[in-house]
Order: sequence, then C-alpha cells, then structure tokens
Amino acid sequence: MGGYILKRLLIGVPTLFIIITASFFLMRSAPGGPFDAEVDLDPAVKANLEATYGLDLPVSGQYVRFLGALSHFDFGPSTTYPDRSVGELISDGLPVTLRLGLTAKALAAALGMTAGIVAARNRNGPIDAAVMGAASLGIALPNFVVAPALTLVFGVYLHLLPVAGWGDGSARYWILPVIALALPQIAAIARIMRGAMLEILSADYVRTARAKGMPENRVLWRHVMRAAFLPVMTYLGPAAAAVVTGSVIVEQLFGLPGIGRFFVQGAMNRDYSLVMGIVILYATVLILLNLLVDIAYGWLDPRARVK
Amino acid sequence: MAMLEISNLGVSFRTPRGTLHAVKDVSFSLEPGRCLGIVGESGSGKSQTMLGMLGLLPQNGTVTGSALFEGEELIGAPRRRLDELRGARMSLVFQDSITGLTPHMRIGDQLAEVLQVHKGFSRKQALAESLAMLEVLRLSEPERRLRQYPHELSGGMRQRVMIAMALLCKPSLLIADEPTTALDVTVQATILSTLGKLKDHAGTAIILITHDLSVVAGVCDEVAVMYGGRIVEHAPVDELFAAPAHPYTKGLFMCTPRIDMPTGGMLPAIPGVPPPLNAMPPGCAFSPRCPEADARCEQVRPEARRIGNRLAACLKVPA
Repeated sequence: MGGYILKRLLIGVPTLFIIITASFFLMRSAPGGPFDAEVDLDPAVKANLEATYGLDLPVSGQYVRFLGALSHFDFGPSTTYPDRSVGELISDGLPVTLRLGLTAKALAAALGMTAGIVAARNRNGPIDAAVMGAASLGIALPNFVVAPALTLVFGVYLHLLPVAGWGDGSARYWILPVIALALPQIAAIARIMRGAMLEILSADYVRTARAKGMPENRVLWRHVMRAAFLPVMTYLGPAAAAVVTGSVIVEQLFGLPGIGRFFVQGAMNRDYSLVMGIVILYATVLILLNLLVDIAYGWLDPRARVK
Repeated sequence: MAMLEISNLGVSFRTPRGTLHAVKDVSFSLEPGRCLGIVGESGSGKSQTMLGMLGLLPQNGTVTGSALFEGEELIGAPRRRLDELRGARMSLVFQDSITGLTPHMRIGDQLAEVLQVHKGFSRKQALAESLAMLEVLRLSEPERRLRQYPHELSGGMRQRVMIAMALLCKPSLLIADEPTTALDVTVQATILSTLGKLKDHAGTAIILITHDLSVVAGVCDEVAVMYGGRIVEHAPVDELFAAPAHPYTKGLFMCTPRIDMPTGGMLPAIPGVPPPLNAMPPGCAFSPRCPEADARCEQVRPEARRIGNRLAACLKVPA
C-alpha cells in the first residue's frame, strides 16, 4: 500500500509539471497584459513596471525564471494587489474558502445521502416523488439565482442574516453562502445515492441477506450501504477539489474574501502569478484527492484493492 | 400434522404489460425428514413458488393462498416474524452463488452474522461454529476462507459457503434451489450426501429444486413436476421413475441421457417451447407441445386427480 501511494505521488509530479507549463503559456498567449488597463500608462512607466516584474524578458525567459522561483515555493508578487505576494493572498483567502467549501461539502454529503436513502426506501411513493422533485429543482437552479433569492428572503425581508460580507467571520456570515453552495450538490448526491441504492436493493446478495433472516436495517447498513457509497464517492472526490478554489460565483455574490474571488480578478487583470498560484494549488489538491478516492475505493470494495 | 402445508399458492407479478401469473394453484405437503424434488423447465415457476412462500418476491410480486410452516401461516406474516424464521428454522440455498454473496463482506462475517442475529452468539463463537460447518462441507483451508472475500473463492467454494450459511442454525426445513448445478461431480456427491444425512439424522425436511433427474433419483423421496406455473404430476420417486404418468414427465425422461441408450443417436427433445405467461392456452398448458393432446385438451384445463399414490393433472391419464 505504501509503495502504491509513493508511486502515485511520483506520477503526480510530472502531471503537475505539465499542468504548470500548459497554463503558463496559455496565460501568456491571452491578449493583453497586467498593465494594459483602461487608462493608458506612460510608455516609460509601463516599461519600468514590466522590468520590475520581469515581464520585459522573452516568454521563455519568464518561464525559466518562474520555475526557478517556484522551486523554493515562491509564487512571485501579485500585480493586482501591489506589495502583496501570491503566497500571502492564498494564505489569506484559503481559510475562508475552505471553511465555506468544507461545510457545504459535509452538509451536501450528509443531507444528500440521507435524502437518497429515504427516497430509495420509499421508491415510487409520494415521499420519493417529493424528494426527487426537489432534487431536480436543486440541480436545475443555478447558484446565481439561488444566492440572490436567499439574500432577498433571509437578509432583506426577514432581516435574519447579513446580506453579504464576511464581518468577523462568525457563522451568521457564512450560513447563506454555504446553503447556496450546498443546494445543487445535495440534489446531485441525493439522485446518485437513490439510484445506487435501488440498483443494489435488487441484487442477489441482498436477497440472500433477507433469506438469512437479517432485519432490514442490518441488510441496509451491512449489505447495501458500502456498495451504494461507491458512485457517491466518484462524484464527491473530484468535486471536492473545487472546495479549494471555492465557488467563484458564490464568493463574488456574497462579497467574500476567498480564493475564488482572487482567481476571477487575477484572470481579468492578467495577474499571471496570482492565476498560476491558484492553478498550482488546485491541481495539487485534485491530484491528491484522486489518490484519496482510489484508496477509498479499495476500502469500500475489496475487488478494487491493489495487491 | 405436516411440517409444511402449501395450499393453492399463487404468485403473480405486476408488469407494464399487465399482471403475469407465474405460479397457480400449487398445493403439496411435506413431512419432517422427507425430501421433495421439484423439477421442471426454466420459467415453470419452481423458484417463484419458494420465493413467494418465504416472502422474498421482488417489489412487484404478490403471493396468494396459504403456506403453513409448523402450523404457522407464512403468507401475510409480518416481516419481523419472517426474519425470525428465515435462516433459522427454514433456510434457502440460492442457485447463483456468483452474485449471491455480498462482495464487500468477508466470508466469515457473512456466515457468522446468521448465528449472531438468530442465536445471539458472540462474533468469536459464531466464527468458530462457521469454521466447523465449512469443515463438514469439506472446504479446503477453512480458516483462510473465513478471512477471504467472495471474489477470492471459486464458484464451487462459494456454493458451499451458501450451503453452510443455510445449515448453521440447523433448520427444520431446507430449500435448495439448484444447489449443485455449478459443482463438479465429486463435490456434488459430498453435498448430496450431506443433505441425505441431514434428512435421515436431523429430520430436516428438504425441498430440492433442480432439473437434474439423477439428483432427484439419488436424494428425493417424492417428486413434483411443474409446468406453466402448476404442478402437473406429484408422485413417490420410485413410482415416478418406474412409470411417469403425465406426458410432460414422460417427455422429461425421454430427453435425459441414459447409460443403456444406444450410442451415436440424437437425444430427443420435447418439441416447441413453454407458452409465455401472458399467453397461456385456455386448456392444458402443455397441450400445444403434447403428443397425446386432442381438441378437448386445448379447451379444458385438467384438475389434479389422485391415481393410487400419485397426483396427475392430465385428461389422458387413465384413472
């Protein structure tokens, strides 16, 4: 097992390198640059700025320089937020994004799986229809509709919760964003879980368990549940990587100081180093999570175990 | 009082194409220590009769009639009561051992939970008992098997695990659905002799669903032949083998290879296929394929009649 993990981590290094290289050149090939704002800068000033950030070098030179800095975990300075390094920005935004994302994920997993199980156990009944109807709505409604609607009801009409902002970071500020983030995921997980449960409930081995006289709860928890987690895991794993970049839309709508907002602003302003920093973070987390999912597969299904 | 008394058992399924009647009007009774063989082609309703009786039909299935097990009505009994009986006093061995075991549970846990749930054994006690049962069934390296997962075992080993599972609580009724189909002859002999011992020493009543007439001849005391969801002939095994009465039973014997047959010839087959459940003929279900059928057979459904020790549902069988 240890050897397998090490091997997967080593394979991750070239993967990451390819991602870094591709995004670096893609960013540079986008038209415009960090100092091409609406206000035309004096050419001399612009040249001076570009020299400061090393942008006067040919792209290949910039690439070598970038890799050199990266080798000791220096992501470089941000051009959008002067005097701040990309590392600082990420470490500022990450706790906000993580808290939002992880809470939303946990909520989505718990509620989504519960709803899916309840729907499956009442299949084709009114409860099933209600749960699946709500889930279809949850998948169909985009974040940018749900978030303002939530704000309007709970913030503006009922005055229960703040409309936007992070304030002191207390729970009141992140309840609405978490709900907005979690709703579509709850819906997706509920549908996946229901489908998986229904498939497994009609499996021969479930009939065997019932024929052995196992009470229905034991059948569900010991014979059905573990296998039903598999498709949910397949969905949750890669989706969990998005926790790190946060929801670009939700952070923007609620004015939250997370990484998602930096990512949008970085991309708009051609803040090369900021975008690269977030891309590297995202890619790393994605590679690690995929490994984690594969390990979890083996735990859930002995047939998928590596020898 | 019989241990098992089935009367007018029917099984039907709601489908998008209407209600299909898979089992109709099945009645028989079974005494302790006796073995009943149920034979018939695929789709004749053998397995559905058993699943219906045990409350194991899929969601769209309905069972009607009566099944008294040790004097207790099973049809319509609450799930909790059925859970107490199933696996403990009446056990079922399924035919498909490949998909019949939970893939993510160790063999030991799947065996042990039977004793843990029904007898309140500790896990350790239950595992020790399971090990002993695997030894009885002559499974190689039984300790190792307990720690393995189903996919690590061969088909024959899995089948024996299924049988062990059914025998752990020493049930008074054992229903085995094609228990030896996937096994090679030597293992098959072990299993059949185990069943024989259970019957003779522990007084277990056995229902053996099979299409292998040689297995029936070896273990069973009586045979019920099913066709189109009904029992067409029910007789003591020696009488049935000596002189099958129903034309379908005769057909079954004709297409079974025998050692005293001339070599090189084609094995005869019953012409045609069983009628689909949604297009049963009004008369005898076997009439379209029956060499002896006449116009009356196609219109009048024969009731089962007692002729000596046997029951036969055929207009052509002389009383």
